[in-house]
Amino acid sequence: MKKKLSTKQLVTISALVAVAMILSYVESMIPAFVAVPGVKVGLSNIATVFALYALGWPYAIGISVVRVFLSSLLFGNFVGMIYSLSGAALALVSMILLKKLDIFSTVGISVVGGVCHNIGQIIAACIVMETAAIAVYIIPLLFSGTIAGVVIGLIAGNLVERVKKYI
Amino acid sequence: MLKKILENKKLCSDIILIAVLLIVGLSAFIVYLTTRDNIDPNEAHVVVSVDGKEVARYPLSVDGVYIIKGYNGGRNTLVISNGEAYISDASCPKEGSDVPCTKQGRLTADGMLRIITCLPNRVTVHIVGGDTEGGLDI
Repeated sequence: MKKKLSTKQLVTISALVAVAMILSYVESMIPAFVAVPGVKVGLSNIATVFALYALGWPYAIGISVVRVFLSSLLFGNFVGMIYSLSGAALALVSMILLKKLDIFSTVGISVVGGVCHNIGQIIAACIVMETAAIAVYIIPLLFSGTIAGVVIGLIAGNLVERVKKYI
Repeated sequence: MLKKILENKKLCSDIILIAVLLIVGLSAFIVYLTTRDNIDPNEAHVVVSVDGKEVARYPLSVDGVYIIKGYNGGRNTLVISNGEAYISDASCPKEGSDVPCTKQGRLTADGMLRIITCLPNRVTVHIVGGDTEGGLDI
């Protein structure tokens, strides 16, 4: 972005980062309900998908990266950050590329995001732990990522429709 | 109803995408279940690895409580009892991590998943059959 951010843009970004962090926090309070690590709804992805549609991809990247750093710092641990970051990076890249193709709605985009987030996390975990044995988690995560993606996509799609005109 | 769905191109491609992912997941699951070795509960072993290297191996048929020394001073307590292996306690901050090792259930010889992972301590605990060597059975 060559031109300076306007105050309005800055406020919008900050508000979305705040929303994403609250959602991260809410998510961290949901107790584990499946015996597979990595299974989660990915509530904060609502903010990312929303930003991708309502503001554009540079905003989505910014909000996602800032959110991962801040919420690892505040609610999680830095050990978890490497997994969150690699998951978020893969999810963002694939969502941005697929959105350019313009064949999916927010649901399809967010499903791809959810599944790619899990794939990115597993790749990072395999590298850090130096074992391929944990790649087996991809099977349950494929299902949970898809389902979570549908939920997040429906919410984000609704939000984009209703809120976009105010931005 | 069906016509309405077919008219909406994006909805169609969404549904196709979701169906493809679910089919891939289901086939992977079937392949996983049909190709893995059967483990005899009497010969099964619990293999503990840290950073991908095997550090200990215990028979699943012998009850016991073991302390695993993980990465960076982390500790996990492994319990084997009645043919089940699980992590009863861990040193990692359990809040903030999505599914801590203590919540990953109990490993048995015929269980669906044969591995427990503790990411912060870089510990994996998995079940292998009696004659498996390195036994990374994915």
